[in-house]
Amino acid sequence: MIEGSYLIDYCDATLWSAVTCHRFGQSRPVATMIRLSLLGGLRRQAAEGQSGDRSPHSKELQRRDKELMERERNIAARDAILGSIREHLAASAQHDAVHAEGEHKVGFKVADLDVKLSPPNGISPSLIDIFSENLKAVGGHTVVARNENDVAAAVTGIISDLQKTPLRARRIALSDAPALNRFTRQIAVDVDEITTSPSAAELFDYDVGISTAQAAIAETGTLVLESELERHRLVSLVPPVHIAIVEAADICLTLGEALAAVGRGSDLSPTITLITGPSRTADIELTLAIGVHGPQELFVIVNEGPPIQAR
Amino acid sequence: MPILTTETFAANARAALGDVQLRGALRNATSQFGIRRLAAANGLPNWQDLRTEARAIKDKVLLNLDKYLEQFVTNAESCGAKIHWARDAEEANQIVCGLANERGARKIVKSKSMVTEEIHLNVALETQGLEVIETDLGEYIIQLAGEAPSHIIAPAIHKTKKQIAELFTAKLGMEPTDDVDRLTSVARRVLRQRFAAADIGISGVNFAIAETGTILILENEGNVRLTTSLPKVHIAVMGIEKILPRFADLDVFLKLLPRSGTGQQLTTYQSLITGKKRKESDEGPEELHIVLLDNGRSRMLAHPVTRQALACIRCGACLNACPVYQQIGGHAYGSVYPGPIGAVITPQLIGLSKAAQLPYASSLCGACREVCPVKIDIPELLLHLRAEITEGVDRRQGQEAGAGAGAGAGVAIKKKRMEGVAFKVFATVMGSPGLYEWNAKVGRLFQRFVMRDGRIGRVGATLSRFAPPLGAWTSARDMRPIAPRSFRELWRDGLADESKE
Repeated sequence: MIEGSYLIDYCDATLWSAVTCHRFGQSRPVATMIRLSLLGGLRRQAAEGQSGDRSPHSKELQRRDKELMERERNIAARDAILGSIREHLAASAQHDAVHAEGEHKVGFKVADLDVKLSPPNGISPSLIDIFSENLKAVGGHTVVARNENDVAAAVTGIISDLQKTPLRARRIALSDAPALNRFTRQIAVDVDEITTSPSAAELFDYDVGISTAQAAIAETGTLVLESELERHRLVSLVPPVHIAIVEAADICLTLGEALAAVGRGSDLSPTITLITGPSRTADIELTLAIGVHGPQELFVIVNEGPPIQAR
Repeated sequence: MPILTTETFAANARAALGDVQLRGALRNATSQFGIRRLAAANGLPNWQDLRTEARAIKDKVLLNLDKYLEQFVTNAESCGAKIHWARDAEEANQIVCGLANERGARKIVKSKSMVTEEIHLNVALETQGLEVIETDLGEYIIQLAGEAPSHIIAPAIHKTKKQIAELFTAKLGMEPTDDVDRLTSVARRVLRQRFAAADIGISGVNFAIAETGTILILENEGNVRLTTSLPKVHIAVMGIEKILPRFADLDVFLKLLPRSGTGQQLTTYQSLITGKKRKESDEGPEELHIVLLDNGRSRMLAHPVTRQALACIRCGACLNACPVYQQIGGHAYGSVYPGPIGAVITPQLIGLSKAAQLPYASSLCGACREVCPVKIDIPELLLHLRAEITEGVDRRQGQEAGAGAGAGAGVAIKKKRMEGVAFKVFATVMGSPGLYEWNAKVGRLFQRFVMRDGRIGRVGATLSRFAPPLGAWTSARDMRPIAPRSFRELWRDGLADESKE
């Protein structure tokens, strides 16, 4: 037994050295040598300590052996692919000189490429107007609220309207955004259930998902959801209706601005989701069908009043 | 349904041309896609600048692909992703099957991915006894039908709703209907159960960002989000060319790809995934595996012309614009990547000798080049590959000839040599006015035997054998005969006399 665990430690040390070789770009012969010597030892040990009594460790050793081989394969494959890339790029050098390379130049700043909206009739449309126009074009709905009470009233209105349709809207799932919990007390409509962050399996039985959005893009009618800031990955996806609340101040004009806002280098959320309208497909004869895997209804409530998030 | 291969392209194409239903579906789809793309592109006044910018970014990536890949790998690993390098299809399949088996997985859901079609991952997984369900509606339909995708972004474009309804009735026991909403909701209901039960989700990748280690996947249906959110393990398979240097570069490509593909400003969902979940309370998979696949791609870097093909972002615009694809559809190409881009990628991936007909499946009209969002000069590439075929420069040919498997290719290449001789003769004749005139006179003398009503119709088999181009040309169209008098003759006799006659 003691020998077994010692072996595993030995195994770890070898794994570590293989990884170190990999990190420092060392060639695989070193890793191979270490592995082969280790494997020899392992098999001897296995042969000696075995005979009838199969310890749980032997399975573990097998697994680690496999893992080690996989690591070695991965390093070999990586070296081969990077080597092939370098070799073929080098072979290309002679042709590159003849062929007008650099014909396509990176020149301008991407932000300069964004459409500058010219105000019709001299009145420039607000970001909310542009957002709601573009969201409408893809089948989503926008409600503008002036304050927190207004937001709650909007949620109430949307749910009571939905209850007159086949979508039912009896069971409501909320993300973990603190503000949402407050609204639930103000929703003046009869529902069966309002739950914060139900499990993934339970979510399939909910009719409506409510979350906030961290930002929105006016020129495309898009919501931006950052998973690090709110637990809304599934609430915004699984139920047939998604209601999202976004602060007017968080609406950007362009996609580029929104990307710059979320792309803060190392602290990117594990998942950033851009949502533009309800789920759709045109896979059958190019006929548009709404709500194939995601929500078939998307409502966005824009809060023009004081921010409701922080409290 | 017979399995169509690249080698039988000419026969596949002829069969497709005889399929009236298919041609109707193609006409409808390609023209609609074309109209939508144009409208979307026109909505941006700087469309051409965006294309130039996108290509410049892609050129920069490809010329430094090793460095960007290493940067991507370092950053993705630091966010908790596990990177797997795969030299070829077999290795990639082994990696994915290995991951599934180690975890004791039984059920797998997949979102649409061309690269997994390229490596035939589903077959590999099913051989291991794993259940794989395609969840994109179009992919699901063709999986039920046991077919291959016929379009890069609309895989079931070749099927009518009637055929799909019959398929659903047979396979899912649904009441017959021709209502698209009803068909969609049946698929939604069936697939939801699959999502809920899946052990592993497999997706492709549209873009991978070197500076952040992020992978990005675009979609409209929501199945990618479900595939990458619900199962405990997410495996993303990507070609090594999918890298972009900076997060900000997405601005350019997210403007180009949806507009070129479906004519949308933005597809409904973009999932930007940077590593696995960090906290226990987070939603999403516990493991993220990214498979980096070469499978012949690094070879394409060896020449600036062939390298272009790696800039492709798989929007499908060239398919819709191509007069050949519009008539024959995707299956006839016999390869996973159809249309103009398929005609230049497939021969490079599987070897020129195996797909020698594909670079000729084009009229070189240039429509594909005009619509390509990353300005790939597909006609230039087609000509380059034709030249390689003619010169017998097949990168794989050496190995194959050694193994004695290049007999078919040998015949094809011999044929190309004959063509070379024919063109030398042509050049000599065209280079000498005396020879040219003499030839025209002889031609005029003999053409009367094959002329009918002032035109040359289909020439007989005997003549075709002596002049194959004549036979090929007239097999489907009439040919203009040589004029009774040439311009030179008219000029010598005086143009004035001619006009009086």
